[in-house]
Amino acid sequence: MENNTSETLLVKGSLEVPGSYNYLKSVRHFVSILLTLNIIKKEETDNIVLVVDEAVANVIEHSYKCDPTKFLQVYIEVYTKHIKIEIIDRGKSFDFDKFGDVDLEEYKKERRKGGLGIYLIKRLIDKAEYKKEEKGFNRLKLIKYLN
Amino acid sequence: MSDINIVEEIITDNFDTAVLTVEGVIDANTASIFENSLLNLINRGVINILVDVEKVTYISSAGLGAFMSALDTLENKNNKGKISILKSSPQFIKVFNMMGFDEIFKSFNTIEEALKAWGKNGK
Repeated sequence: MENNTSETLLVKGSLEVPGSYNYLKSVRHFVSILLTLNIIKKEETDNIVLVVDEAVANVIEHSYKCDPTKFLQVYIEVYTKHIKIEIIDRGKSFDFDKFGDVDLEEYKKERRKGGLGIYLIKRLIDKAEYKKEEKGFNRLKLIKYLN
Repeated sequence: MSDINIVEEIITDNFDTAVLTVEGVIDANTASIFENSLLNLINRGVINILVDVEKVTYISSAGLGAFMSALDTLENKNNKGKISILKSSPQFIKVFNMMGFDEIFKSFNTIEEALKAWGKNGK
């Protein structure tokens, strides 16, 4: 991850978990502890925890088809004014922009069931960029500016 | 220890109304357990379900999907069927309301309030 020299990096951490929903709790704990240690406000911590949970669940379901033999990485960097998160996987890539394009009123009217995860991510995060890298892995980069 | 604990209670003499008390998390790992609990009640003829989520510490979009899926099944079976919320935790209500689910799933503070709204008597 690149250095941002205009702000101070407070802490960074990384976690690697198998492609199984059983590890979502661990991911949430990891994010929560990292943010709480740096006195990030509870509401912001809760939002980031939800965002990372949704992103990881998405990889597990869509990219890895719940295959626990495959691993994904979560990287977090906490700066004085923003948080940077990257989720990296080596599974099947998908159209991140298309998935997040949900008409909530239609969704509720039609009683649809899936597809809210990316919508939630985009709602709670300031910048989201999904890219299939040349080396064969997918990188979801998320930025949240702190109040 | 399980991440989710669910207890059901039938609260009317004609077995058409139930309270489902959920404790723990409703995430992608546990959403299917939660959904199956709702479907189990629906398949047994329950048409009014109160979901007590006061002790739900976390819900994600998978949990919201479970609510919607169960409602869809219930409405297809009985278009007067209802799933409502009984009490809620801060994280639950924040995510639920952020997605506008409070417009579809009415909230009640007590069972009595819900029964009165539905014109029902408890056991």
